[in-house]
Amino acid sequence: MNEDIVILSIETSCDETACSVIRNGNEVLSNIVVSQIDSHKRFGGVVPEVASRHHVETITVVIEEALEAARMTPADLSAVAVTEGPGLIGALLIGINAAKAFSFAHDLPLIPVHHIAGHVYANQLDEELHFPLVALIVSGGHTELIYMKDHLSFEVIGETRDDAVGEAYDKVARVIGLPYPGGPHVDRLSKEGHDIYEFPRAYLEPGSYDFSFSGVKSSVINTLHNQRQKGQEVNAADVAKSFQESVVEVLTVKTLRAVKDYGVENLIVAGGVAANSGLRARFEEKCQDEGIKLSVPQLKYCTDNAAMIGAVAYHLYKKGAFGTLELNGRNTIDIEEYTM
Amino acid sequence: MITLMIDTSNRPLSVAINEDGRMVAEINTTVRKTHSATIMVHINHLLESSGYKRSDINRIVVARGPGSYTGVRIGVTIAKTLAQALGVELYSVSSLAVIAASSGAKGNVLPMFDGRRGNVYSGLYHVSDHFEEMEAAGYKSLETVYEEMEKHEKVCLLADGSEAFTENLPKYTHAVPRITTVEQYPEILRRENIHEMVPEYLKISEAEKNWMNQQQS
Ligand SMILES: Nc1ncnc2c1ncn2[C@@H]1O[C@H](COP(=O)(O)OP(=O)(O)OP(=O)(O)O)[C@@H](O)[C@H]1O
Ligand SMILES: [Mg+2]
Repeated sequence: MNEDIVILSIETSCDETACSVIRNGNEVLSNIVVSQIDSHKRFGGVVPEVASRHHVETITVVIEEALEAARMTPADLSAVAVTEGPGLIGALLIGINAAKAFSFAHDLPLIPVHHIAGHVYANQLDEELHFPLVALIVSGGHTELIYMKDHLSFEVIGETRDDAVGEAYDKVARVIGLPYPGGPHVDRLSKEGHDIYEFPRAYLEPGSYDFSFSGVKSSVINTLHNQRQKGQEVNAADVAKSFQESVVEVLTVKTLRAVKDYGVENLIVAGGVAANSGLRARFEEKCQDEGIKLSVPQLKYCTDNAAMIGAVAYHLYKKGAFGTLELNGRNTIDIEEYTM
Repeated sequence: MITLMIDTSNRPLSVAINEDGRMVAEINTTVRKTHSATIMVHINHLLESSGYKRSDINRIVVARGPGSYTGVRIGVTIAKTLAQALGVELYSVSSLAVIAASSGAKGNVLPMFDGRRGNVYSGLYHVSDHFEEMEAAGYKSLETVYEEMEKHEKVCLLADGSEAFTENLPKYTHAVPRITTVEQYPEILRRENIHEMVPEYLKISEAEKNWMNQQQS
């Protein structure tokens, strides 16, 4: 009989203080997420020092709540997992030092996890992953296409050369005059508009799976600026729709080309921007047409959470990929380093 | 009673184990290495070399700041999490008071840390067989500090001589933290609620300062 693997996981890479207890990599026993968004709204974006201050205020509370909600005690745990990076270094250090102290106090193995691997494995919380697969990660800080031939095998086949999609959404939202974080507002507004602007689509050189969103972003900003200068009224919904069309088209076309070129049948889309209704709808339609199995995590697992970190940690645990008390945070880590 | 003591609030790092207020083992370093990577290793080493188990620890004392924001948070995060995990009491001590106690100086002492842009974090204490606060700890300009010094007799300036700002100081005594010393002065230890404890930054973040200014205008 196999013994259960129960992992307490901690995630503090950006502006969510999160802790989860998860059994066997897919059974979420608790998933506590304390968002700092209301605080950062004051500044129109995440301020690293403020984020770190909030994390240290909340970290022991989320750990206790995660254990209580899971009806678990430390004695029931197999290991402690934590996001090692990428992310804001000061923010990461709170989760990492808490994880090290907790693992030391309870004599548990420590498992460092790559944040983006977490976003990919968020899908495992709903269903088993099928390999080989291509994963598109679209979030506030990342836009990456990853090829995985098996568990814990990461090959980055494309990434953004400038802005991340979520970042572009937030900047466009700001010039339209929408509150932070603007992605969901642009998404909502786009449903009432039409693609009248036909903003540029950056496909880059033929065969490239990389992305670039600074062009379309500048184009939106310049268009709005010119129209406002001429005293013309701007229809924000049309701007939102036109921007979203450009982004969705490039993301879906490139991703589906990668799926075809790599001969895979499974596609994962994850990260905060996977919540985008336009992106979801287009992927669903195209994948149905082409017989590709599409997986998108539930909304609550798309944005930052600790359950997804525990989902990866389950596989790392089985491989014995443990960290030491010297574990430190890293603001950037190549996910390919995590290939086992 | 076994106390684990932690100070990572500036470049020097100090960890100690005391038994009934007496030092059993301590590690004090001043090297350019991130505390995040070394602190738990040192704590583990202290326990191993003193022959205590984790479960022998009865309470934790942590330097709560002021100091480097990240440094203070590393110590406070570890202290809070360990106290919670081990189910023991948590106490804090001002990082400035740690310097005052560590230096061994008696009389009026004025510990200070670099606060950048001509400012420092400082407080003024009278140390005898007990500890008395004469000027509250704060984020101050050097002028303010000198004015405070004028108000008291024979003040001994305490600073970490490896910090650049000491170049411009009048005569000062080089002092670095030895957190083992603070249990000599129980009056400077403050009992903390584990969940509610936050570092003592003595300064709001730049972003919040700007935001508050904007709200006012
Ligand atoms: N419906 C939506 N449409 C477009 N963008 C959205 C939508 N919902 C959320 N976003 C965007 O998703 C981003 C947040 O996602 P997420 O929380 O995964 O990013 P992050 O954790 O900040 O970044 P990273 O994971 O790269 O460190 C924000 O930029 C937000 O505007
Ligand atoms: Mg994220």
